[in-house]
Amino acid sequence: MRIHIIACRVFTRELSYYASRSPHVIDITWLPQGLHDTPEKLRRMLKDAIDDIYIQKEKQMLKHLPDYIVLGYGLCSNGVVGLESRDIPLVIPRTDDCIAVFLGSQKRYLDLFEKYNGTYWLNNGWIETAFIPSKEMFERRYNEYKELYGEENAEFLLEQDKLWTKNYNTCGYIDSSVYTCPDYPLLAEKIAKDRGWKYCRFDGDCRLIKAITQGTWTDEEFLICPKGHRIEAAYDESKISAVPI
Amino acid sequence: MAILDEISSFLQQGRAPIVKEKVQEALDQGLDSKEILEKGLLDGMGIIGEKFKKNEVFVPEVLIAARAMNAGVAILKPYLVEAGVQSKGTAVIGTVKGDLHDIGKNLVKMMLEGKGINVIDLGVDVSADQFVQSAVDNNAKIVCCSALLTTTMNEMKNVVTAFVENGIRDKVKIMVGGAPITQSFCDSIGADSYTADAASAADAALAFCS
Repeated sequence: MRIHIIACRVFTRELSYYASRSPHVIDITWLPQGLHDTPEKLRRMLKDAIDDIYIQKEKQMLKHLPDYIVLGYGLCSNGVVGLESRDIPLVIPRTDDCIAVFLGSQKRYLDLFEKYNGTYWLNNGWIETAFIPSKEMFERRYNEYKELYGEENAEFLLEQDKLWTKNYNTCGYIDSSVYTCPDYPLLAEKIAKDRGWKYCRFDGDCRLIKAITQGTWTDEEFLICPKGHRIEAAYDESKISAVPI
Repeated sequence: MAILDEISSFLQQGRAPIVKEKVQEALDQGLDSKEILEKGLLDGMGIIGEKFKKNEVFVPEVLIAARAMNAGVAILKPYLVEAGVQSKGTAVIGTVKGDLHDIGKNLVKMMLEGKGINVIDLGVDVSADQFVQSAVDNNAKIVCCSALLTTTMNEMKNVVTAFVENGIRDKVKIMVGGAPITQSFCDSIGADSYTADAASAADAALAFCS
């Protein structure tokens, strides 16, 4: 079976590892981290990435169309809602976001969300690709603001940027069974200390990432959107459903 | 009046100290406080709002413009009170229970204030009952609910239900917004308005006030 995965770069390490060990032929298109902030843009880029698979085949840059296209995304601010599968079924994990995928299940994520409300999650992928609330990142942003809007406004804007950090109380670092740089948990711990948060370390679980690459998609944890269907939001535990176009 | 154009222009540039000076200068020239508010400050904020809708300016520009507006309003306030100028209506705003994100909510708050609406900010992690209580206490016409997470957006339905159960659903317009929110979600929970950005939210809120 051929599986084409379109994934957020936040999954680079874990997905690459399991892709290399999959019995299937795996191709991956990586998209930038952070698109969950602009779900319209995420939807557009996912659509373009799907269309690009057909375009490559038409131009004979691709010898075989995949049997399935899997999205390495959760709902991600509903950015996956509205996508359509043409001739190739689309597969999507039924999770709110990547944190559930890194933790191994939506259920575990929701349990932790309730137990540790106010947790800012970090892991390999986030540290390597995202804006993280470290002193260095805030300093860099301050300098950008200063250049664009002057010193007085820069201080105000940085203050606004930091407001959300006051609402959080914990930094949750998700360890990876695939790779851990010794500096990363230390960085997460330092961020927690600087922000006045608690620090908690959690074991990651790659079972969903493994399932993505092995094609073991259960109805409970994945939506398989058949060809000629569109992904719709379900607003219940199933998160998403497929409706005929 | 040239000075009102200057106030509007400096506000759009986010230059709070100069806006403050110019508002004082306008008052010293004997201009009416309501005119300074509407043709200077709110005019500038309206232009920024329109540009934001068209993606010509971004969040930082809106934030510094709103800051400049607040600086100007602070100077005007005693004069406005003296002249008996009232707000266009009251809105209660908050991020729903379980959700701790407030950048978008704060932006909407500033935009609403930029339209002359009085805003009661309940902060983050606000329960349905808190929305109801505050709307009653403040005689609010509008209730604005924000959510950033798909894990918490369903809480908005509880807010709508709480207003129904308290028999005051027809007294308020419930507006919803936040990255994962869509028009179809708004319709499905029986809220009154969804807007995709903070400037459009302010336009919709103003329409509800009239």
